[in-house]
Amino acid sequence: MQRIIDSILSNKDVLVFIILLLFSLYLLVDSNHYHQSKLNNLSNNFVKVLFKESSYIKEYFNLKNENKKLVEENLNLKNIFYSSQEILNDSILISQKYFFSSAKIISNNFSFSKNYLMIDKGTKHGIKKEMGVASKNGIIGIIVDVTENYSSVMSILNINSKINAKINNSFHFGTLEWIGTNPNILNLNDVPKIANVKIGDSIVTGGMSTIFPENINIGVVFKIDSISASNYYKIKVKLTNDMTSARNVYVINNKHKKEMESLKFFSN
Amino acid sequence: MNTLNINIIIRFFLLVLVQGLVFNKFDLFGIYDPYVSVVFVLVFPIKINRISFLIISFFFGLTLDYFTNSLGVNAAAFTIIAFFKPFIMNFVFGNFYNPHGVKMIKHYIMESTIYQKILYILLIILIHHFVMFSLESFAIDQLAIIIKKTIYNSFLSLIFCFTFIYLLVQNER
Repeated sequence: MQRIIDSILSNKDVLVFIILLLFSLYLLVDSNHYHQSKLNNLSNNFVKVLFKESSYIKEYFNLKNENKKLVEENLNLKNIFYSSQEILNDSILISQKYFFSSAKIISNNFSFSKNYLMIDKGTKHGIKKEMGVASKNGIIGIIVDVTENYSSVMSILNINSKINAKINNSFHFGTLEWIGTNPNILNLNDVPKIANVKIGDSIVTGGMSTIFPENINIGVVFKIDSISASNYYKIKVKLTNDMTSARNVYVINNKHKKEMESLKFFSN
Repeated sequence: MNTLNINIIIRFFLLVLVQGLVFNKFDLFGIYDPYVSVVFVLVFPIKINRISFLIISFFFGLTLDYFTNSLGVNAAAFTIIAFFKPFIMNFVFGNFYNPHGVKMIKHYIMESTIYQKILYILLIILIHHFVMFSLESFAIDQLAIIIKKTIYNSFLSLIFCFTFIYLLVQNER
């Protein structure tokens, strides 16, 4: 012990130098946005590669389950295809508004209050900011950042995310928010008391934004709080989509987004 | 307080103000500035112990950073040159260098040969500029630009520092 203290004391110049240098580097990175983003990029690139490798391995163990899910989904789609009365022809493709492309989640998080996911598609595959992400059971989130091969998705399990939702088969809509505790329960606020809501009603996307098309499943009504002082219900929604085990997702590209946003007051 | 401490305080404020208000806006050919603030480290008295020298240089750099709004760049550069100054003096002045004796920094600057003076000033300026420009751009792929900027700025700084040292040290009592 005495020797350690001695060696520190004999090199105290170097120690002070290193402390001052580290402190100035800390100031540099902490107070300048340019340096901060540069450093973030560097570490992100490194972490993304790790995530991808580990997700390859995990994928292998989940193959059986994934196959089962895909078969189910195929069946579902076939049912819809054969039962629909519409005649498919070329003109439908031209007037199609939403395009879907598949992606895979390579890192998922639900333990923080601001959760982000990462998917393995980026600008190379035509992904842009503010596109919606959904799985076969329901919505997942909104893309907030894109690099060449990857993008990060703000999960609906993020206290900053606000999603327009409505009660199925009615036109009463509200805002879907998460309070940051249970990853299965979301709050649907701003639904007026005039609406006829029952426990077990299903909640779907409202189609009032440029991100998600109408009528994508979100969940079912689980509990209704009505506060006498307010004109709005406080509805708790149980997600049909298990956010903690989602893997294969679709990115939704709204072809008319620019046109819709060019109307000045639409986004308000 | 003796004259040594008063000299340091006067130089601190004089050089910060001159650098921050005048020479940062020099802009020769649009981008090249002389960094006369390095004079503060170049003529810092040898008798003051190294730890206080390091800490004073750090705060000198930090004060300069407030003028350019680039917190930490100059602080790191000045800490590094303050740390390497004794080694460089040992290398440049050889057996003329005597850190524990009675010689003052004035003697080194006035009584050495012209090559020693230029080498001493240029080495410290080169280290300072290289550290400063690399921290400023913070990217390895811009190394060629950093080196080019370092060399051009160093020649400009050399001329101004030389003049400044003569003005400051010659009139010192």
